Amino acid sequence: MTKLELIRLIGDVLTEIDTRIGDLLPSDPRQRELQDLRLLLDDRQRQLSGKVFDDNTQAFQAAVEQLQGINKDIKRTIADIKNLQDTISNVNRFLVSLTSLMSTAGGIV
Amino acid sequence: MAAQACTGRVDYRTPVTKFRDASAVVIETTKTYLSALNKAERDHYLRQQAAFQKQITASEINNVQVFSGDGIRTRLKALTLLSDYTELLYQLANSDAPTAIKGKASDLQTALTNLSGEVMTLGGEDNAGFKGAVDKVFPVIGKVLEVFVSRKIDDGIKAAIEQGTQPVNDLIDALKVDVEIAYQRRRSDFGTQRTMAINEYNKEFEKRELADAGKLRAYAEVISSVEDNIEAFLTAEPGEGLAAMKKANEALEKFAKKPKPSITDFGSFVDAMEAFSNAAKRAGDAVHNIQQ
Repeated sequence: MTKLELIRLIGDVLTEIDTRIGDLLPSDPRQRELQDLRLLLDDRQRQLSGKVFDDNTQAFQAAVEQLQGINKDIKRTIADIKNLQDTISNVNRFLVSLTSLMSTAGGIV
Repeated sequence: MAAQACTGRVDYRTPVTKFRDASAVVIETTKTYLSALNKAERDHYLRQQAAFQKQITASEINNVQVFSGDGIRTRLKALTLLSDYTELLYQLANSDAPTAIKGKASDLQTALTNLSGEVMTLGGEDNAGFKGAVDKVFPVIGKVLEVFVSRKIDDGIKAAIEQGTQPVNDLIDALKVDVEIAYQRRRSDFGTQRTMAINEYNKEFEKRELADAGKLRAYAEVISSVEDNIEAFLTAEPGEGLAAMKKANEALEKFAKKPKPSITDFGSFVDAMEAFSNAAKRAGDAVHNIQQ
Protein backbone atom coordinates (compact mmCIF):
# COMPACT_ATOMS: atom_id res chain seq x y z
CA MET A 1 0.00 0.00 0.00
CA THR A 2 1.31 3.44 -0.90
CA LYS A 3 1.02 6.65 1.10
CA LEU A 4 -1.78 7.78 -1.23
CA GLU A 5 -3.70 4.53 -0.68
CA LEU A 6 -3.31 5.01 3.08
CA ILE A 7 -4.72 8.54 2.73
CA ARG A 8 -7.69 7.03 0.85
CA LEU A 9 -8.16 4.41 3.58
CA ILE A 10 -8.28 7.13 6.22
CA GLY A 11 -10.79 8.95 4.00
CA ASP A 12 -12.96 5.81 3.95
CA VAL A 13 -12.86 5.63 7.76
CA LEU A 14 -13.73 9.34 8.04
CA THR A 15 -16.73 8.78 5.78
CA GLU A 16 -17.85 5.83 7.92
CA ILE A 17 -17.55 7.91 11.10
CA ASP A 18 -19.40 10.85 9.52
CA THR A 19 -22.36 8.62 8.75
CA ARG A 20 -22.47 7.43 12.35
CA ILE A 21 -22.11 10.99 13.72
CA GLY A 22 -25.00 12.02 11.49
CA ASP A 23 -27.16 9.25 12.99
CA LEU A 24 -26.75 10.55 16.53
CA LEU A 25 -28.54 13.51 18.07
CA PRO A 26 -26.36 16.48 19.12
CA SER A 27 -27.35 15.90 22.76
CA ASP A 28 -25.92 12.36 22.66
CA PRO A 29 -22.49 12.44 24.39
CA ARG A 30 -21.32 9.65 22.09
CA GLN A 31 -21.60 12.06 19.17
CA ARG A 32 -19.06 14.34 20.86
CA GLU A 33 -16.79 11.37 21.49
CA LEU A 34 -16.87 10.37 17.83
CA GLN A 35 -16.42 13.97 16.69
CA ASP A 36 -13.27 14.31 18.80
CA LEU A 37 -11.87 11.14 17.23
CA ARG A 38 -12.87 12.43 13.81
CA LEU A 39 -10.98 15.68 14.38
CA LEU A 40 -7.81 13.80 15.31
CA LEU A 41 -8.09 11.39 12.39
CA ASP A 42 -8.68 14.23 9.94
CA ASP A 43 -5.60 16.00 11.30
CA ARG A 44 -3.51 12.83 10.80
CA GLN A 45 -4.69 12.63 7.18
CA ARG A 46 -3.75 16.26 6.64
CA GLN A 47 -0.29 15.75 8.16
CA LEU A 48 0.30 12.69 6.00
CA SER A 49 -0.63 14.71 2.90
CA GLY A 50 2.35 17.02 3.26
CA LYS A 51 4.98 14.51 4.32
CA VAL A 52 7.36 12.22 2.49
CA PHE A 53 8.28 8.82 3.80
CA ASP A 54 9.28 5.44 2.50
CA ASP A 55 6.17 3.35 1.97
CA ASN A 56 8.22 0.37 0.77
CA THR A 57 9.51 -0.72 4.16
CA GLN A 58 8.27 -3.90 5.79
CA ALA A 59 7.40 -1.93 8.93
CA PHE A 60 5.16 0.40 6.93
CA GLN A 61 3.43 -2.43 5.11
CA ALA A 62 2.89 -4.37 8.34
CA ALA A 63 1.40 -1.29 10.01
CA VAL A 64 -0.89 -0.70 7.05
CA GLU A 65 -2.07 -4.31 7.15
CA GLN A 66 -2.97 -3.80 10.80
CA LEU A 67 -4.93 -0.65 9.88
CA GLN A 68 -6.83 -2.51 7.17
CA GLY A 69 -7.75 -5.18 9.74
CA ILE A 70 -9.05 -2.56 12.17
CA ASN A 71 -11.02 -0.91 9.36
CA LYS A 72 -12.76 -4.24 8.74
CA ASP A 73 -13.72 -4.28 12.46
CA ILE A 74 -15.04 -0.72 12.14
CA LYS A 75 -17.16 -1.66 9.10
CA ARG A 76 -18.49 -4.67 10.97
CA THR A 77 -19.68 -2.70 14.00
CA ILE A 78 -20.54 0.68 12.53
CA ALA A 79 -23.81 -0.37 10.94
CA ASP A 80 -25.27 -1.38 14.31
CA ILE A 81 -26.15 1.57 16.56
CA LYS A 82 -26.26 -0.80 19.54
CA ASN A 83 -22.59 -1.58 18.90
CA LEU A 84 -21.59 2.07 19.01
CA GLN A 85 -19.19 1.62 21.94
CA ASP A 86 -17.36 -1.08 19.95
CA THR A 87 -17.19 1.29 17.00
CA ILE A 88 -15.72 4.03 19.16
CA SER A 89 -13.13 1.56 20.53
CA ASN A 90 -12.21 0.41 17.02
CA VAL A 91 -11.84 3.97 15.75
CA ASN A 92 -9.61 4.66 18.76
CA ARG A 93 -7.49 1.62 17.89
CA PHE A 94 -7.24 2.83 14.29
CA LEU A 95 -6.11 6.25 15.46
CA VAL A 96 -3.49 4.83 17.83
CA SER A 97 -2.08 2.49 15.14
CA LEU A 98 -2.00 5.30 12.60
CA THR A 99 -0.23 7.66 15.01
CA SER A 100 2.31 4.94 15.74
CA LEU A 101 2.89 4.32 12.03
CA MET A 102 3.43 8.04 11.37
CA SER A 103 5.82 8.42 14.31
CA THR A 104 7.88 5.43 13.23
CA ALA A 105 7.86 6.09 9.50
CA GLY A 106 8.41 9.81 9.32
CA GLY A 107 8.91 11.42 12.68
CA ILE A 108 5.52 13.05 12.19
CA VAL A 109 3.25 13.86 15.18
CA MET B 1 -10.78 9.06 -41.28
CA ALA B 2 -8.02 8.15 -43.75
CA ALA B 3 -4.86 7.07 -42.02
CA GLN B 4 -2.59 8.40 -44.72
CA ALA B 5 -2.84 11.23 -47.16
CA CYS B 6 -1.64 10.70 -50.70
CA THR B 7 1.80 12.03 -49.69
CA GLY B 8 2.25 8.89 -47.54
CA ARG B 9 2.45 10.97 -44.35
CA VAL B 10 0.36 9.70 -41.49
CA ASP B 11 -2.49 12.09 -40.76
CA TYR B 12 -2.32 12.80 -37.02
CA ARG B 13 -4.49 15.87 -37.24
CA THR B 14 -7.86 14.71 -35.92
CA PRO B 15 -6.66 12.50 -33.05
CA VAL B 16 -3.94 14.98 -32.01
CA THR B 17 -6.55 17.75 -32.06
CA LYS B 18 -8.76 15.66 -29.78
CA PHE B 19 -5.75 14.95 -27.55
CA ARG B 20 -4.97 18.67 -27.35
CA ASP B 21 -8.59 19.62 -26.60
CA ALA B 22 -9.12 16.94 -23.94
CA SER B 23 -5.71 17.72 -22.39
CA ALA B 24 -6.73 21.38 -22.10
CA VAL B 25 -9.86 20.41 -20.12
CA VAL B 26 -7.97 18.02 -17.82
CA ILE B 27 -5.19 20.51 -17.22
CA GLU B 28 -7.66 23.29 -16.38
CA THR B 29 -9.60 21.07 -13.94
CA THR B 30 -6.34 19.99 -12.32
CA LYS B 31 -5.32 23.64 -11.94
CA THR B 32 -8.68 24.40 -10.32
CA TYR B 33 -8.21 21.59 -7.81
CA LEU B 34 -4.69 22.62 -6.90
CA SER B 35 -5.54 26.34 -6.68
CA ALA B 36 -8.37 25.52 -4.29
CA LEU B 37 -6.36 23.14 -2.09
CA ASN B 38 -5.19 25.59 0.56
CA LYS B 39 -8.55 27.37 0.62
CA ALA B 40 -10.20 23.98 1.10
CA GLU B 41 -7.96 23.26 4.11
CA ARG B 42 -8.59 26.70 5.65
CA ASP B 43 -12.35 26.42 5.16
CA HIS B 44 -12.34 22.86 6.47
CA TYR B 45 -10.51 23.92 9.63
CA LEU B 46 -12.87 26.88 10.20
CA ARG B 47 -15.98 24.71 9.61
CA GLN B 48 -14.74 22.01 11.98
CA GLN B 49 -13.90 24.46 14.72
CA ALA B 50 -17.33 26.10 14.36
CA ALA B 51 -19.14 22.74 14.25
CA PHE B 52 -17.40 21.45 17.38
CA GLN B 53 -17.38 24.85 19.12
CA LYS B 54 -13.62 25.01 19.45
CA GLN B 55 -11.22 27.96 19.42
CA ILE B 56 -9.85 29.22 16.12
CA THR B 57 -6.22 30.37 16.07
CA ALA B 58 -4.38 32.30 13.39
CA SER B 59 -1.32 30.07 13.60
CA GLU B 60 -3.42 26.95 13.06
CA ILE B 61 -5.02 28.53 9.98
CA ASN B 62 -1.46 28.81 8.64
CA ASN B 63 -0.45 25.31 9.76
CA VAL B 64 -3.34 23.45 8.13
CA GLN B 65 -2.41 24.52 4.60
CA VAL B 66 -0.74 21.59 2.85
CA PHE B 67 1.32 23.34 0.17
CA SER B 68 3.18 26.64 0.31
CA GLY B 69 2.08 29.44 -2.03
CA ASP B 70 5.24 28.88 -4.10
CA GLY B 71 4.53 25.16 -4.24
CA ILE B 72 1.11 25.72 -5.74
CA ARG B 73 2.33 28.45 -8.08
CA THR B 74 5.08 26.27 -9.57
CA ARG B 75 2.70 23.35 -10.01
CA LEU B 76 0.27 25.60 -11.87
CA LYS B 77 3.12 26.80 -14.09
CA ALA B 78 4.13 23.19 -14.77
CA LEU B 79 0.56 22.47 -15.85
CA THR B 80 0.63 25.51 -18.15
CA LEU B 81 3.83 24.21 -19.75
CA LEU B 82 2.22 20.79 -20.19
CA SER B 83 -0.67 22.52 -21.94
CA ASP B 84 1.78 24.46 -24.15
CA TYR B 85 3.51 21.20 -25.03
CA THR B 86 0.26 19.55 -26.19
CA GLU B 87 -0.54 22.74 -28.13
CA LEU B 88 2.83 22.43 -29.84
CA LEU B 89 2.05 18.84 -30.82
CA TYR B 90 -1.24 20.04 -32.24
CA GLN B 91 0.50 22.74 -34.26
CA LEU B 92 3.07 20.28 -35.52
CA ALA B 93 0.30 18.02 -36.78
CA ASN B 94 -1.73 20.84 -38.31
CA SER B 95 0.71 23.37 -39.62
CA ASP B 96 3.27 23.62 -42.33
CA ALA B 97 4.85 26.80 -40.92
CA PRO B 98 8.11 25.52 -39.47
CA THR B 99 9.52 28.93 -38.51
CA ALA B 100 6.59 29.79 -36.23
CA ILE B 101 6.69 26.35 -34.62
CA LYS B 102 10.43 26.46 -34.08
CA GLY B 103 9.97 29.85 -32.38
CA LYS B 104 7.29 28.45 -30.06
CA ALA B 105 9.43 25.40 -29.27
CA SER B 106 12.35 27.65 -28.41
CA ASP B 107 10.14 29.78 -26.12
CA LEU B 108 8.88 26.65 -24.39
CA GLN B 109 12.46 25.47 -23.85
CA THR B 110 13.25 28.78 -22.15
CA ALA B 111 10.10 28.59 -20.00
CA LEU B 112 11.04 25.04 -18.95
CA THR B 113 14.53 26.08 -17.93
CA ASN B 114 13.22 29.04 -15.94
CA LEU B 115 10.57 26.97 -14.17
CA SER B 116 13.09 24.25 -13.41
CA GLY B 117 15.22 26.85 -11.63
CA GLU B 118 12.22 28.05 -9.61
CA VAL B 119 11.20 24.54 -8.62
CA MET B 120 14.68 23.69 -7.36
CA THR B 121 14.46 26.55 -4.84
CA LEU B 122 11.30 25.08 -3.25
CA GLY B 123 11.74 23.85 0.29
CA GLY B 124 9.61 21.58 2.45
CA GLU B 125 8.78 17.90 2.35
CA ASP B 126 5.51 18.59 0.55
CA ASN B 127 7.50 19.62 -2.55
CA ALA B 128 10.04 16.78 -2.53
CA GLY B 129 8.14 14.48 -4.91
CA PHE B 130 7.33 17.27 -7.35
CA LYS B 131 10.94 18.53 -7.33
CA GLY B 132 12.23 15.03 -8.02
CA ALA B 133 9.90 14.63 -10.98
CA VAL B 134 10.76 18.04 -12.46
CA ASP B 135 14.48 17.39 -12.04
CA LYS B 136 14.11 14.14 -14.00
CA VAL B 137 11.53 15.18 -16.57
CA PHE B 138 12.23 18.73 -17.68
CA PRO B 139 15.68 18.09 -19.17
CA VAL B 140 14.24 15.27 -21.29
CA ILE B 141 11.37 17.41 -22.57
CA GLY B 142 13.94 20.13 -23.25
CA LYS B 143 15.90 17.72 -25.47
CA VAL B 144 12.72 16.78 -27.36
CA LEU B 145 12.00 20.46 -27.97
CA GLU B 146 15.52 20.80 -29.31
CA VAL B 147 14.45 18.47 -32.15
CA PHE B 148 11.65 20.87 -33.09
CA VAL B 149 14.03 23.78 -33.10
CA SER B 150 16.83 22.18 -35.06
CA ARG B 151 15.25 19.57 -37.37
CA LYS B 152 12.40 19.14 -39.83
CA ILE B 153 8.77 19.23 -38.72
CA ASP B 154 8.12 15.65 -39.81
CA ASP B 155 10.97 14.46 -37.59
CA GLY B 156 9.69 16.72 -34.81
CA ILE B 157 6.25 15.24 -34.28
CA LYS B 158 7.48 11.65 -34.29
CA ALA B 159 10.34 12.53 -31.94
CA ALA B 160 7.98 14.46 -29.68
CA ILE B 161 5.63 11.55 -29.39
CA GLU B 162 8.26 8.80 -29.13
CA GLN B 163 10.69 10.55 -26.79
CA GLY B 164 8.34 12.93 -25.04
CA THR B 165 5.73 10.40 -23.88
CA GLN B 166 7.65 8.98 -20.92
CA PRO B 167 8.77 12.30 -19.38
CA VAL B 168 5.32 13.80 -19.89
CA ASN B 169 3.76 10.76 -18.20
CA ASP B 170 6.25 11.01 -15.31
CA LEU B 171 5.23 14.62 -14.79
CA ILE B 172 1.56 13.62 -14.92
CA ASP B 173 2.24 10.95 -12.26
CA ALA B 174 3.85 13.49 -9.92
CA LEU B 175 0.99 15.97 -10.32
CA LYS B 176 -1.61 13.19 -10.06
CA VAL B 177 -0.51 12.27 -6.52
CA ASP B 178 -0.94 15.89 -5.38
CA VAL B 179 -4.33 16.17 -7.05
CA GLU B 180 -5.59 12.91 -5.59
CA ILE B 181 -4.52 14.04 -2.14
CA ALA B 182 -6.40 17.31 -2.75
CA TYR B 183 -9.46 15.25 -3.68
CA GLN B 184 -9.31 13.18 -0.47
CA ARG B 185 -8.95 16.31 1.66
CA ARG B 186 -11.93 17.85 -0.13
CA ARG B 187 -13.87 14.65 0.50
CA SER B 188 -13.20 15.00 4.23
CA ASP B 189 -14.43 18.59 4.14
CA PHE B 190 -17.65 17.54 2.43
CA GLY B 191 -18.16 15.01 5.23
CA THR B 192 -17.88 17.83 7.78
CA GLN B 193 -20.32 19.98 5.83
CA ARG B 194 -22.79 17.13 5.82
CA THR B 195 -22.63 16.47 9.57
CA MET B 196 -22.84 20.21 10.29
CA ALA B 197 -26.00 20.53 8.19
CA ILE B 198 -27.60 17.46 9.81
CA ASN B 199 -26.68 18.70 13.31
CA GLU B 200 -28.30 22.10 12.70
CA TYR B 201 -31.51 20.34 11.71
CA ASN B 202 -31.37 17.95 14.66
CA LYS B 203 -30.66 20.72 17.21
CA GLU B 204 -33.96 22.31 16.13
CA PHE B 205 -35.65 18.90 16.03
CA GLU B 206 -34.60 18.18 19.62
CA LYS B 207 -36.79 21.09 20.73
CA ARG B 208 -39.64 18.66 19.99
CA GLU B 209 -43.05 20.42 20.19
CA LEU B 210 -41.21 23.76 20.41
CA ALA B 211 -39.32 23.15 17.14
CA ASP B 212 -39.94 25.76 14.46
CA ALA B 213 -41.42 24.02 11.40
CA GLY B 214 -40.16 26.74 9.06
CA LYS B 215 -36.61 26.37 10.36
CA LEU B 216 -36.80 22.60 10.05
CA ARG B 217 -37.81 22.95 6.40
CA ALA B 218 -35.00 25.41 5.77
CA TYR B 219 -32.41 23.16 7.43
CA ALA B 220 -33.69 20.19 5.42
CA GLU B 221 -33.14 22.23 2.23
CA VAL B 222 -29.57 22.94 3.30
CA ILE B 223 -28.98 19.19 3.84
CA SER B 224 -30.44 18.50 0.41
CA SER B 225 -28.14 21.07 -1.19
CA VAL B 226 -25.06 19.66 0.55
CA GLU B 227 -26.00 16.11 -0.52
CA ASP B 228 -26.35 17.29 -4.13
CA ASN B 229 -22.89 18.85 -3.99
CA ILE B 230 -21.39 15.68 -2.52
CA GLU B 231 -23.03 13.51 -5.16
CA ALA B 232 -21.67 15.71 -7.95
CA PHE B 233 -18.23 15.86 -6.32
CA LEU B 234 -18.01 12.08 -6.11
CA THR B 235 -18.86 11.74 -9.83
CA ALA B 236 -15.33 12.25 -11.08
CA GLU B 237 -12.02 12.18 -9.28
CA PRO B 238 -9.59 14.64 -10.90
CA GLY B 239 -6.92 11.95 -10.89
CA GLU B 240 -9.06 10.01 -13.39
CA GLY B 241 -8.68 12.78 -15.94
CA LEU B 242 -4.90 12.74 -15.56
CA ALA B 243 -4.83 8.93 -15.70
CA ALA B 244 -6.84 9.10 -18.93
CA MET B 245 -4.41 11.69 -20.31
CA LYS B 246 -1.51 9.38 -19.54
CA LYS B 247 -3.24 6.46 -21.25
CA ALA B 248 -4.01 8.60 -24.31
CA ASN B 249 -0.39 9.71 -24.39
CA GLU B 250 0.70 6.07 -24.43
CA ALA B 251 -1.77 5.31 -27.23
CA LEU B 252 -0.30 8.22 -29.21
CA GLU B 253 3.20 6.80 -28.69
CA LYS B 254 2.11 3.29 -29.67
CA PHE B 255 0.57 4.61 -32.86
CA ALA B 256 3.57 6.80 -33.72
CA LYS B 257 5.86 3.77 -33.44
CA LYS B 258 3.95 1.79 -36.10
CA PRO B 259 6.00 1.98 -39.29
CA LYS B 260 2.90 1.35 -41.43
CA PRO B 261 -0.27 1.77 -39.34
CA SER B 262 -3.26 -0.18 -40.58
CA ILE B 263 -6.87 1.02 -40.55
CA THR B 264 -7.34 -1.09 -37.40
CA ASP B 265 -4.35 0.63 -35.75
CA PHE B 266 -5.79 4.00 -36.64
CA GLY B 267 -9.23 2.94 -35.37
CA SER B 268 -7.75 1.92 -31.98
CA PHE B 269 -5.86 5.20 -31.81
CA VAL B 270 -8.99 7.22 -32.51
CA ASP B 271 -10.96 5.18 -29.93
CA ALA B 272 -8.29 5.92 -27.32
CA MET B 273 -8.56 9.67 -28.01
CA GLU B 274 -12.36 9.42 -27.81
CA ALA B 275 -12.16 7.68 -24.41
CA PHE B 276 -9.81 10.41 -23.19
CA SER B 277 -12.15 13.08 -24.47
CA ASN B 278 -15.05 11.51 -22.53
CA ALA B 279 -13.00 11.26 -19.33
CA ALA B 280 -11.96 14.89 -19.72
CA LYS B 281 -15.60 15.95 -20.11
CA ARG B 282 -16.55 14.15 -16.88
CA ALA B 283 -13.67 15.82 -15.04
CA GLY B 284 -14.65 19.21 -16.44
CA ASP B 285 -18.32 18.77 -15.48
CA ALA B 286 -17.43 17.82 -11.90
CA VAL B 287 -14.88 20.54 -11.18
CA HIS B 288 -17.25 23.42 -10.49
CA ASN B 289 -18.49 21.54 -7.43
CA ILE B 290 -15.22 21.97 -5.60
CA GLN B 291 -15.95 25.64 -5.40
CA GLN B 292 -18.97 24.92 -3.19
